[in-house]
Amino acid sequence: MTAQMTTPQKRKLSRAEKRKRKKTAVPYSKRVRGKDYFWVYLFLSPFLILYLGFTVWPLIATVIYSFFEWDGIKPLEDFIGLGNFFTIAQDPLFWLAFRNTLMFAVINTMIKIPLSLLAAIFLTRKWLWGKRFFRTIFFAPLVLPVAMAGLIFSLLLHPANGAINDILVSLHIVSKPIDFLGDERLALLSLIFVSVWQIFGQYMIYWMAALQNVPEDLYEAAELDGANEWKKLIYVTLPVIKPVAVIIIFLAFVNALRVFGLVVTMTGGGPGFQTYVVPYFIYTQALVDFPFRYGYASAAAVLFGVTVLMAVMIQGYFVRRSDENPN
Amino acid sequence: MLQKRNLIVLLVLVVAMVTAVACQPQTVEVEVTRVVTETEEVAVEVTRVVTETIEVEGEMVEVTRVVEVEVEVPAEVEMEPVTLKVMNWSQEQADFYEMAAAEFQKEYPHITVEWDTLEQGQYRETLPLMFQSGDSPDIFFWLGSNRVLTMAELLDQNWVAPMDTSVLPDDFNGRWPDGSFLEGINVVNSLPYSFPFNDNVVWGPGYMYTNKDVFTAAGLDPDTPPTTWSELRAVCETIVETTDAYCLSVPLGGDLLRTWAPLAGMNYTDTFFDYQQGSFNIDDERQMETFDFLQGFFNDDLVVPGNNDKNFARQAMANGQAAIYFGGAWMPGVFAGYEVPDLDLGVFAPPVPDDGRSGSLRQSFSENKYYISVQTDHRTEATQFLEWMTRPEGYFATEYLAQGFGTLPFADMSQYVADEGMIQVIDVANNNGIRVGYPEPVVACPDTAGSKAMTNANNLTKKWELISMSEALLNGESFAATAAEIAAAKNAEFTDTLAEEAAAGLNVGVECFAFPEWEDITQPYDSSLYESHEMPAAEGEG
Amino acid sequence: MNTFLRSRYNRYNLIAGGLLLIIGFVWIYPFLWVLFASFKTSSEMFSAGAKLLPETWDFGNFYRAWTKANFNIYFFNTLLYAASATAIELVKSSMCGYVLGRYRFPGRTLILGLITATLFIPIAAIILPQFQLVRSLGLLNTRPGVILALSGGAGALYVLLFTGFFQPLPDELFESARLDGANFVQTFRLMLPLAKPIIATVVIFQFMRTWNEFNIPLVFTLGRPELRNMAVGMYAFRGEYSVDWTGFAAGTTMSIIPVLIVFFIFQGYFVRGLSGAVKQ
Repeated sequence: MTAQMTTPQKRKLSRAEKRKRKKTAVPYSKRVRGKDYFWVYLFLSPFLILYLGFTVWPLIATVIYSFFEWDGIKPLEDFIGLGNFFTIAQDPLFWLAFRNTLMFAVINTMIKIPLSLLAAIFLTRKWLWGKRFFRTIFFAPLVLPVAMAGLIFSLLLHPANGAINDILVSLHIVSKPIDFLGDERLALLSLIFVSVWQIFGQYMIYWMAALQNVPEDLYEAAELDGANEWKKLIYVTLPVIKPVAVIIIFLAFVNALRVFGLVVTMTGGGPGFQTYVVPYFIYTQALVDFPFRYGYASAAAVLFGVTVLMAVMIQGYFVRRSDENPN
Repeated sequence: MLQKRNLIVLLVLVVAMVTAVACQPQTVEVEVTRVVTETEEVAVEVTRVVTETIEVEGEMVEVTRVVEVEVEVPAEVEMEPVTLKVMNWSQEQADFYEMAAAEFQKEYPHITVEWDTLEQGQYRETLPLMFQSGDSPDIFFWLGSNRVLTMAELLDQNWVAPMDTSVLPDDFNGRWPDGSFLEGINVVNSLPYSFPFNDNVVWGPGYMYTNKDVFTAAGLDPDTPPTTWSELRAVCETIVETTDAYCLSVPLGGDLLRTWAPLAGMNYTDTFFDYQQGSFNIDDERQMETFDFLQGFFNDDLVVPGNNDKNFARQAMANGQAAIYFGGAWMPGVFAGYEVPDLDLGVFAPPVPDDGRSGSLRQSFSENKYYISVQTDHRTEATQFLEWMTRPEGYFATEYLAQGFGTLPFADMSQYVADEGMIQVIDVANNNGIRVGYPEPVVACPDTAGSKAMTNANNLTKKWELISMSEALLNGESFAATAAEIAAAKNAEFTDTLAEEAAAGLNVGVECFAFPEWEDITQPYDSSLYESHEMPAAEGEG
Repeated sequence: MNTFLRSRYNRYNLIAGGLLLIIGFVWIYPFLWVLFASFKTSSEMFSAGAKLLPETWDFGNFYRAWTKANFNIYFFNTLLYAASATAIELVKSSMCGYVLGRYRFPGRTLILGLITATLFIPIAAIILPQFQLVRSLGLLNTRPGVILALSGGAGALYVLLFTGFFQPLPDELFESARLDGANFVQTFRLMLPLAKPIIATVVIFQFMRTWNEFNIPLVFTLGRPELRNMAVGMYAFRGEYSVDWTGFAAGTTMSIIPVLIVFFIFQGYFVRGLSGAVKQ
């Protein structure tokens, strides 16, 4: 998937052309020759070995555990086949968590991506004074432990004497303090905003890294043509950073699906189950509430991951198709 | 320029790593060979030839020297030095454990105790890993999902070893109240494995803590607490009308149990299972009554607003934002740690319904918490430590009680508890008898030990009742429909599982969980009634 | 109009700077709140509302953090783990990302697909299998074991970033390197410095992640507590019945300083630098 996403040259080719192109698509310099094969695989190996051991293997283990009724302590003996999956398919809490997680991830991504891009463009302007200072300010929330960030906002958002309500009430914007984390319609939204606050710096940096790909002379050329800042953004910056941008948006979404720490410290999944998210669901099943259900939690992880992955792939497929056939 | 910076940064990293490796805390390996010349006399000078191999700047240097040491009692064979590792999750008490270890070593100079604490979640996650890798502590702390089955589970997991009875005094069991040692609970094949650590009368939820200053500010007598629900309601209205403070501070989500238990327990029961009828009970009208009573406080803004957890709720009361917090026996110690030096804490029994107490809190069946690891090489020393720890007049018991960490069944609490709040807690517990022993299904039907009926029902959604109630309380919604839904779902899962298990040959049934002969829920279940308890009719291929 | 304001960019700066100062203050406010909370008593922290400055400056929290969380012992471990895991991460992900972005070879699509797919699946029980692996390598309770686990877990997204960076680089660059007679490794060494922004990104995030990681340093050093890091030490503030939030805040304040320093140094890499290298 990523392979296609990051392919810079493509668009508007007929089927036949495409097929032809496929054969000759690999430019001369990208082909691997002779003993370079040795180097290519040697370069891959450090990453792949560690990746297999520390990511792929735990993943496979998760899949294996999902077929067992298991508390994570006793020997792995109680094989129940797809039993966990049947149970979880009927667990309304899991599906509620599923829905909440998707909502969280989508809204969160939609807010943080454009905002952080804007900040990154702004904070890489040559003429701007104090770039380092402002970058550090936007980056700073990221270094706070999540538990700490959750605590501050629980205090700041609190309806009894929280700073934000104090301000809102004294400015007569609201007449009665708002219970940001207790109101069932606001709790998830509040989590989203706090999460954007905390993670913002990360995406700002990704964008700043991506913006380095834009050669300066392109801007100079655009400027000679009389382009203003907005046009430079649309016609120069965005097209050039598109391949990396796709990766960044994708990462933003996937990382948002992993929302966990803020839920633990700010709402504990509440009010009721309104902010239950899948990682929190997995955590409580596997490690918090007795009896531990490692197998069940693993099944939840697998089901969630596979469903989201498939949804994204299908969407990616349609996006590509509409990209290729604009009519 | 940039190239250079790149280099510099990499250099910094490399230097950091090299320094890191170079100054690793000295890996000086000291092999000390001790040759002890033994003599017959008492108090003589003993010569030791000590050979030490010391790594000094990469070179191994062997140092041999003869040391003369005064030995006071050399008659016995020198004890091998032993290090015992003890672990639990009470980080607040870490300093105390260190002192206790030092105190213990005064009596057993050859035993060094390293008492390590981890945060509870971390502990539960990592202890199984420690057992897997053979790294388990010699003595570990454990609370199982079902207190009655903990011993069986631990044996099943092959984690526990019995205490070494040869170093236990004959009257060891006499340190506890009668009936504290039970086969299958903490004794297996007559060998003791553990002991009740906290008592089960005082320890547990169910106390009403008040901020007396708020009471005074409201013109109320801080020493005359509300004793009935109506009085509680009236006091709350007065407080909110006359002061800036709220009345109740109620933690929500799973933490709601802290407020729920004393209210529901005085009306009916703090468990979500009716042991008289053998069914889940959140839809029982008495539970609804309690819920409606509590919701009245929320609807009329008598409760600190917000989706608060227990930390917030307690802090709000300690800071004078609220007058009342319901909590467990451990709260005096927690409030003491909040650095509110002038907090004037009141401890009282929970208010009862207007027509008198009609319910009870379930007494914990067992408070066994410390076990010896099956992997230890020092079972004897571990037993010696546990024996020392549980001496009724020993350092551990007296200090533990004096510092107000908790209650102990093996020491005279009235004598050693110094903390004012804790003394009140004990008084309240002893004078009110709010905790009673409930019937235990596994005693009535041994096969229920293998039944997953209760587990499956609770697993449908963990803490379902509490979390759903919290949502209704916060948003001013009705709870009756949800309660009916919860009870129906749990009961269906419960009876279905029991039926399946009975069909598979387990001698279990709803009868095992229903004790109609237990007529008065405010009184302990009389264990002689087990004999007359109705058993499920044998069924299936059984 | 004076000469200062006549410059377009000076005018921009006055507007933008003012705006940024306001937004920046609101943005940084909760962060400052934590820093100042490390000087408050816990009851003041909970009742302070919007107020930043403590009524009386209490340094006891720092003392508690230093001794109770064992910072004096754990600082060295933290630095070692973060520095080495970052160095390893940088080397392996840049090598892998370079090859994936630059070359087409059998298995490339598979690897990229695998990396992408695994990002989606939350791993429920990651620590358990990792633990088994490190144990079977005999590295339990050693520093190399911790470093290995720290640098093993998270590289996927860095690889994607490097891939995304190297892929669109113009062929002419590689062609000219080839004509100069550079071999495979030499070409890599020529190209790597171009990826400075990505390098900076990886260093900042990997350093930060490993600096704050507590699960791995805890679980892989269970038998030897002296090998733990500061983040594990901070757990000493979470008691059985309560959390020492002000001690936690003080610990946080002390432990984030090195991360901010790393950020401050490496953010200098986000300066447009590619234009000189690419002669179109």
